[in-house]
Amino acid sequence: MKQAIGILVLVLAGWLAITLVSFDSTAAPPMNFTSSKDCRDCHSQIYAEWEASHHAISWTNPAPRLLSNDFAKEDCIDCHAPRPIFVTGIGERVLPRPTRRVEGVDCISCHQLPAKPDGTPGGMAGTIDNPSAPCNPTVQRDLNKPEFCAGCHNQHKTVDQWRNSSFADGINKQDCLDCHMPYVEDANGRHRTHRFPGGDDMDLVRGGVELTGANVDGNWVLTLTNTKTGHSFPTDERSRAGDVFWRPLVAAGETPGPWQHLHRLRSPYRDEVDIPDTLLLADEARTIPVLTGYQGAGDPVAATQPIEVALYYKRTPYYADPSAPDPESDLTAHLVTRFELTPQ
Amino acid sequence: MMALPALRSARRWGLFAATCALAFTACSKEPTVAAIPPLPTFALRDVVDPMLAELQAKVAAADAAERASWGAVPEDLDAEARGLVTFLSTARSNMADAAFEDIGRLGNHAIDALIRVYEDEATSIDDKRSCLRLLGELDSPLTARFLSTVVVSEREALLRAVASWKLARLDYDMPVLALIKQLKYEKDAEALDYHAKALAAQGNFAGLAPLTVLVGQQGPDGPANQTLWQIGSDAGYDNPYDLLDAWRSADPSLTATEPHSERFRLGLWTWIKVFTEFQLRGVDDGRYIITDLGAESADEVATALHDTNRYVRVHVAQSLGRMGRRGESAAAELAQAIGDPFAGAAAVEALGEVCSVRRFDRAPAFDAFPAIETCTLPGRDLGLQLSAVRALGSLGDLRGLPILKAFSNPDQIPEFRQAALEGLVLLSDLEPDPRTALAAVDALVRQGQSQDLDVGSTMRALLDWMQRGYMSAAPPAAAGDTPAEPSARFGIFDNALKAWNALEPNAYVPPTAEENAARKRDRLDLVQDLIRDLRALEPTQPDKAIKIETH
Repeated sequence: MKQAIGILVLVLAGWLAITLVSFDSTAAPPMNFTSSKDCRDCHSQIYAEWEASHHAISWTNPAPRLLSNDFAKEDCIDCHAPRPIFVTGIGERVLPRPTRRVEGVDCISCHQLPAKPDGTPGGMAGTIDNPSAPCNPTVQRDLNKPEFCAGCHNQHKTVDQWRNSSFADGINKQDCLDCHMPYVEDANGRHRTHRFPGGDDMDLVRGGVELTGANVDGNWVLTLTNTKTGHSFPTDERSRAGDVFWRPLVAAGETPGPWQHLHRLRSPYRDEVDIPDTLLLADEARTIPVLTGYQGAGDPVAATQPIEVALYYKRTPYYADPSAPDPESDLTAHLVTRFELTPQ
Repeated sequence: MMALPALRSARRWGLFAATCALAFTACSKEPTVAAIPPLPTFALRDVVDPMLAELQAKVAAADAAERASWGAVPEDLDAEARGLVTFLSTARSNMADAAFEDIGRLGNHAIDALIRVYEDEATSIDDKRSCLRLLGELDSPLTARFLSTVVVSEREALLRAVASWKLARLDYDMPVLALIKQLKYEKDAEALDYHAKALAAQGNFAGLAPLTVLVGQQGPDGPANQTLWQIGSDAGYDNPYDLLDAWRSADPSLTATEPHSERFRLGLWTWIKVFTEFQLRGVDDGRYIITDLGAESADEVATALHDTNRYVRVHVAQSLGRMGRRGESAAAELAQAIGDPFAGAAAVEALGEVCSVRRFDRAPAFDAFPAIETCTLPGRDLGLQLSAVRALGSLGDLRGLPILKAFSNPDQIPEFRQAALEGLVLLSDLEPDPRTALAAVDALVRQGQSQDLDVGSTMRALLDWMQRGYMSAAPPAAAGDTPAEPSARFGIFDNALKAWNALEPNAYVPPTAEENAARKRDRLDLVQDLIRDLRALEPTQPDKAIKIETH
C-alpha cells in the first residue's frame, strides 16, 4: 500500500515537473523587440532589403535633414521616426517615437502590434501565424491596405492622389504594394521586397511618365502624360519636382548651349504663396508648348528648328542657380527621358 | 526504477515529490523586480469640443450685438465706400483726412462694404491699400478680424504690412494668433517689422527674435534694428535684448493681467482643435502659435492635456514645452500628464523646459524634479525614461547631475548615454570643477562618433556649450577709450565658433551623405581641438577629479 502511495506521489510529481518545464508553444509570450536589429537574425534577407531602402534612412537622409533643419521642424519627426502604426491606428496620423530615431521607418514601425492589456508584448503583424516564433507573428491583412501607408504618405497627399486616379478602382487597378513592394524571387523564395522602390528607383520613375513631342501647327509642342505612377508626378509634394528643359540641337561635335527651363512640376511649400501647384495628376496628359523664354514665357519655337528635350526628376526642389537651372551639374536632378525633335 | 530502492518509504517519496515541486516552482518564477511607484493617473474628458462650442456661441452673440450697435445701414453704402477708396488712392496725402472723416460718418457698416471692395477681384493693389487704411479708422473687432485674415492670406507683402500697421493702432488681442502665425511664414522684411510692432502693441514680444535675425542680415543701420530698439523703448527697456530675455524668462511684468477676450480664446481653441487633424502642416502651425503666446495663456492651454483626443494631448504638451518658462504655470498639469501612455514622454520633456533654471535666475514655483526623476526609474517605458533624461538636461537642476552621470555610464543603452552626456554638457556650468565639465564634453564628442546615433541634438549641445564658453570669456566692456584685452580662453572659443560656422551647409543644396559625415567629423574634431587647448590652459590636477568615463 505504502509503495502504491509512493508511486502515485512520484507520478504526480513527475506530472507537475512536466507541466512546469514543458514548452507549450501556444502559450509562449512573444519577445519584446526594442530595435529592428533584433529582427535581423531570423530575417536577414528582408533586413538587408530594408537596410537598402529609403525607409531605413528616413532619419539619416541628408535631404530631409536639411529641409527640416535637422528635424528642428518637429512636424517631420512623426513620419520619419514613427511609433508603430498598429499602435496609433491604421489610417490614423502617426506619432513620433522618442527612441531609436536613427532606425527611421523600421520593422517595428510597420509590424509591431500593440501590447496586450496585461502589458506583455503583442507580437508582430505578418503574413502567417506562427506562435512558436519569438516574434509570434499573426496574419494581419491591414498590412496590404493603402490605408496602412496613408498614416505617413498621405501627409503629402500621395494616397489621396491615388484614390482619385484610375488606379484606385478602375481599369488600371493597382495599389501601393503592387509597385512599391512587388514580389521578388530569390534564394529565400517568393516574397514582397522590403526595398520599397520609389523615387529613388529611376527605372520605376521612367516607367511612370511619358514625354513626347510633335509639330503642331508649325511649332514644337510637348505632351507629358502621367501613365503609370498611380499618383501625381512627382508625388511627395513640396520636396520633389519635375523639370522639362529644351535647347537647340547642335551638330555632332559641337558644344550644345545651356538647357532652357520650360516647365516645372511641383507643389509649393506653405510659404511659397506665389508658386502655383503644377503636379501632374495621375492619368493627366499635359500639353506644353516649347517657348523661347524662361519657364513657359516667350515665343513658340518653330518646328523648322531641331531641338532636344529632357525631363528631369528632382529629389529636392532647388537649384544652385535658380535663374539658370542646370540639371546636368545638379546631383539631385535625375534624367527621366531625353530625345531629339527634328523637322520632318 | 534503479533509484527506487533508496526511496522505500512513503515519507521519502513525499519528501522527494515536495522537493521536486518546490524546485520547479522556484525555477519557473519571474525574477523579483523592485516595485516602482505608479505614475499619476488622471481622468480624460472632452475638453476641446465643448470649449469651442461655448466660445463659438459667445462670439456669435457678441458679433450680433456689435452689429446691432451700428444702427441703420446708410443708403448707397457700397457706392460711397467705393468712392472713398478711389478718392484715397488718388488724393494727395493732405487730403487723406477728409476720406477718414467721411468713412467715420458712414459708420461701422462701412466695414462690410470695404471688405466687399477689397475682395473684388477687379480691385487694384492701390485701392486695396486704401481699403485697409479706411478700415483702420473703423474701430471694431470685426475690423480686427478681417485685418488678421489679410495678414495671413494676402499675397502682396505691402498689404500684409498695412494690415499689421492698422492692427497695431486698434486695441484687440484676437489678431495676436494670426500675427504669430505670419511670423513663421513672412518673407518680406518690412512686413515683418509691422507684424512685430502689432504684436508688441498687444504685449506679445514674439516678433523680437525674428527681428534680431533681420538685424543680423541688415546690419545695425537697417530698419529692423530701428524697430527692435523702438519696441524695446516703448516697453520701457533701455536695451531690447533685455526685453527679449525678459520675454523668454517669462518676467512677471510682461504677463498680461487682463483676461484674454473670448474672440482670442476662440482663436486659441480653434488652433488646439487643429491638433486633431490628419495633416501635420496645420499641427505645426498650431504648435508654433501656442509656443509664442504670453505666459498668461499656459493655464488655459494646459486644460487640453485632459482631452480624450490623444493627438491634442501630445501636441499640447509639446507646445507647452516649447513655451519654455512662459509655460511654467502648466507645470503641475504636465507633472500629472507623465502618466499618459501617449503624451507622457512629451509631457516630461515639456516639464524640463517650463521649469528650466538652466538659463534663468528666477526659480520656478513648481518643483519639477521629483516628477522627472520618477520617470527615469528602471522599469519605466524606455521612451518615457529617455525623455526624462533629456528633461533633466533642460531643467538644469543640480539634483539631476547624479542621475545624468549614472545614465552616462558606458554600459548604458547608447541613446540614453548620449542624452545623459548632452545633459551634462548643457549643465556644465553647474560642475564645480571645470575639468569634470570638460570631461563630459570630451565623452560626448566620442559618443557622437558612433554611426548608430543621431547627432543633431549632440551638435546643438556642443554649440550651446561653445557659445556659453565664448560669452563667459568675452572681455568686459571697454573702459573709456581702452578696449579690454581678450583672454586666451576667449580667443580659443572665438576661433572654434568661426570654424564651426564655416562648416554650415548651403541652405538650398542638400549635402550628400558623405559630406554630412565629413562635416560631422570635422566639427567633432574641432571640438576635440578646443578641449585640448582648454585643458592646456587649466592647471594640472590629479585625474581622479574627472568623473566622466571617456572610453
